[in-house]
Amino acid sequence: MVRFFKPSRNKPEPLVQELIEIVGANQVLYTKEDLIGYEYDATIERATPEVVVLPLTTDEISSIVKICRKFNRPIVPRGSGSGLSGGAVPIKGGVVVSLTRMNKICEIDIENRYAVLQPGVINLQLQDRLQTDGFTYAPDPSSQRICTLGGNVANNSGGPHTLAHGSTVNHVLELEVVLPNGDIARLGSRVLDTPGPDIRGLFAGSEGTLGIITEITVQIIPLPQSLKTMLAVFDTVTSASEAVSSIIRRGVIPVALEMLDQEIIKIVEPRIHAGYPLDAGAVLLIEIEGIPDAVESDSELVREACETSGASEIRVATSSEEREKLWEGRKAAIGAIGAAYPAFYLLDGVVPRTKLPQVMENVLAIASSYGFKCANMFHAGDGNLHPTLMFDPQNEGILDRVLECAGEIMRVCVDSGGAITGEHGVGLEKTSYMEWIYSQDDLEAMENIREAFGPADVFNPCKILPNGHGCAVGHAAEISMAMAGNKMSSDIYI
Amino acid sequence: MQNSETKILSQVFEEFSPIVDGRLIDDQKPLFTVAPRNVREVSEIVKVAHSQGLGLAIAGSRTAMRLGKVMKLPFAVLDTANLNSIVEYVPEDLTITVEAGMTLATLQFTLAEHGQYLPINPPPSDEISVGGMLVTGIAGTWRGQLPSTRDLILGATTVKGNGTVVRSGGRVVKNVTGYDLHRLHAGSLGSFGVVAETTFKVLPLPTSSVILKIKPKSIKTGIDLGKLLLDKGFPVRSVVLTSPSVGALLLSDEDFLLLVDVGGSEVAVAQTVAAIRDLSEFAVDSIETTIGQQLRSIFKGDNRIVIRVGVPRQRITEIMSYMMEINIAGFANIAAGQILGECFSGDLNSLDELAGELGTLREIVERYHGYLLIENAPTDLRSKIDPSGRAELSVVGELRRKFDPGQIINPGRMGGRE
Ligand SMILES: Cc1cc2nc3c(=O)[nH]c(=O)nc-3n(C[C@H](O)[C@H](O)[C@H](O)COP(=O)(O)OP(=O)(O)OC[C@H]3O[C@@H](n4cnc5c(N)ncnc54)[C@H](O)[C@@H]3O)c2cc1C
Repeated sequence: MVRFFKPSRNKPEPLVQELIEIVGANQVLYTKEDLIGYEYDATIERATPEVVVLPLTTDEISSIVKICRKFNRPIVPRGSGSGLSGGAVPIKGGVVVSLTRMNKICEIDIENRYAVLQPGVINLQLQDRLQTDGFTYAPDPSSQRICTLGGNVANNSGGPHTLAHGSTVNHVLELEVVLPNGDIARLGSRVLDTPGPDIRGLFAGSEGTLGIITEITVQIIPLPQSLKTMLAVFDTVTSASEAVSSIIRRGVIPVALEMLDQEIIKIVEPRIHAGYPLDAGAVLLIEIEGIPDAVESDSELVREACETSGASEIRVATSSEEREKLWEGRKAAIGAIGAAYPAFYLLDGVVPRTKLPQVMENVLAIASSYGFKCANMFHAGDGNLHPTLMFDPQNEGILDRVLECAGEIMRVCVDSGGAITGEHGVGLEKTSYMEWIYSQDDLEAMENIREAFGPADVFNPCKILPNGHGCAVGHAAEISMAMAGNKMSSDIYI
Repeated sequence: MQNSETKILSQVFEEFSPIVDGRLIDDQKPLFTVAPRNVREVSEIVKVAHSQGLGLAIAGSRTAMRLGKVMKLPFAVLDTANLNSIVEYVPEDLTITVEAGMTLATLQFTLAEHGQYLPINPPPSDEISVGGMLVTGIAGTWRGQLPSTRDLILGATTVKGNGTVVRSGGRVVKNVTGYDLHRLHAGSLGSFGVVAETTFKVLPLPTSSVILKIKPKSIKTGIDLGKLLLDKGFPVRSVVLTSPSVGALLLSDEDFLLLVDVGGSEVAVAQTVAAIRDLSEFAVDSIETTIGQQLRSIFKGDNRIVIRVGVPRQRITEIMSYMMEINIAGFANIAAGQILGECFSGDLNSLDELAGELGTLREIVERYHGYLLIENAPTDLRSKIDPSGRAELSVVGELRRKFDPGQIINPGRMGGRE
């Protein structure tokens, strides 16, 4: 269902006029056709903003925030719109502030190991740029070709290499942000461990609800001396899951430890030709980095762990092309599902690593009890699952069943001591699950955070916190309404 | 507060067995001390204190009590010594949940039995409580190459200043479910409530480690070599340059010393040591690994004046030289861009002079986006110069009002409670 908050019009209203005065006519979109592209992110939810502004500077953003306050309109910050939780969807209408034109790499300081970036810089562009100097920026979401660093910080995004290097928050030194009153504040600093409470850390992962990130300073690290990428083939998901624990038990922390199950291999391999065996029950994609001798000895330990867990084959990439192919299969998996099925719904649960075998068995059993095919490609080393339910949206009543099945799967994650999102964020999508994890007191403390920054309805209203905590409308109902209304118009329900 | 009032107050706390043990905080006498045994008791104590408007100084192992602004009387002490159990530890998950009064030493001992550790070595020793470690944000020489408490924390149970128990995060290594309240407590000096339980991400303990000693000719050659080693991506846990006076204390060697802590598997350590020998134009010796602990505790002592300066790596040589000129001896953690130094103050009069000198040093490092933090100092000095020197963001004040409406937790530590 697409929500229109005010009928789009072709004649600018006072709000639009004032915005144009600040940023110029080319940077303000308000006609119906122009707004369509800003209705959604990579999820199911859609809603039309009243206006979209594309600022170029922090000062412009500060003025935009003040104008929106004056006209009492909510503000939704937006990067590339690749989010998987409805975070950038303007569910209450208002003004979308798109950061994509603020895309300059302002400074790279190799000696002091940091990079200063505007929020619209694309993740992969930074990595590519650093590579020439022998450095890298570690967090690498699978969407790194398209997602912005502002979006990464706002969602505290992870990626395959989070296992050894941590999530985005562990790499952010300083943020410049515009707060709900339009003030510009700097959080953290270019050096480590600035005295005082870690507001920088709190802001990371706040999903655009506390303010707009206008500049980011991240830490950069040297590229490893040596790297080994391995593919271990298993008959079942359970034995692959056991191998994950067995590797960790041997004291080895690979930089990446990813799993793909049979269902996803069957989708990916014919399209990408990554080299995954079609008859495998599951594969583990394992990467080890460090100094050459240590990489050799650690990969022996990994081999041993995989073999004792029943691996039928272990392959090592012998060239960078082979490595890239193996990774392409993993990183392009979501796109491949989109090509193979009319619709799918991707989840983001996280569980203690030792619970993986049991949880995976339950997930597959739940999906099959609903009659859904369920593909899994996920960050096994972190216990971060992405069960993906494939379905035909034309089927009567299917969307309710998808949500019901997803809810049951999330329950399994929570009951195993896990959480409802490992990297995609709560957004709109998971607000109703928040009460499964947190008590009313916990949620009230989160509300306190929001209020300390400013009124809860200024930035990205109705995100993160559930019904009654700053958002008047219950959410589970909204999702199913949105899906039901939307089923013909979108073929990918991520 | 009158004696009679104190008596009544201490009666209010009777079920928590308040004691008066004579231990001072910031040279001040607390009314009494209570030591809760679990989160529920923490909550009850804080509720009562909140209703009485009584300040509560939170004390862990008391190894890091002389930082921040001087605490404001009157206050009682909430001692976390009895909050010392392991709540949950599943070694294969690489996570552990412990109560906040547990010392880092006990935590490390438990982890070591399973070949794991929390990769942090705050000065002066592992006696610090884990809650204290989180709220002070004190790290050690491994910082930079390894994460700090604010990175390793996965979740916490805290008690707000009105007694409400709040949980955030969880026991999984990756989690973006809601705001990371636990991060708010990192470096907060306890100003948002009492930390009662913490969950950390842990790492496998290196099976082998060695400390290498290199004698560069000057600060500059030492720092440059240190940076070179760091940029090669070796498994080094720290690269530290000590000033001659520290070298003399530590190894009876009154020279600049570059100490490199290498840790990893045996092959990793062997290959790294060989590579460093090849790279260094100076002799490279292996020395006792206990030197690491000795370096950590080199400035231990209540009455010492210890500062930490954070600067971009490029500025370490300049700032360390300057610090030596003004008689601050210390050592630089090159990976983190941090210099820990001890200031020698003579008598009380010279404290004014020292405060002036530190003020100037602070101005210089701030020009480079750096900071100067007083990590340990007597109350006199902490009254003369702001220990952190950071202007508080207005949002921090707002957060404090939300999380500790009566401003009773560690009253005055971060300012406020005028
Ligand atoms: C195929 C595919 C693969 C993916 N793989 C991963 C993965 O491996 N790991 C992972 O973590 N995620 C993954 N994602 C999800 C998504 O790419 C990330 O969440 C990403 O960080 C979003 O960036 P964006 O620029 O697209 O942000 P958007 O979707 O535009 O916005 C995301 C959220 O951030 C807020 N926001 C954006 N910019 C700012 C800003 N400057 N200031 C304040 N708030 C802001 C928005 O309000 C919104 O709440 C994947 C998505 C897709 C489609």
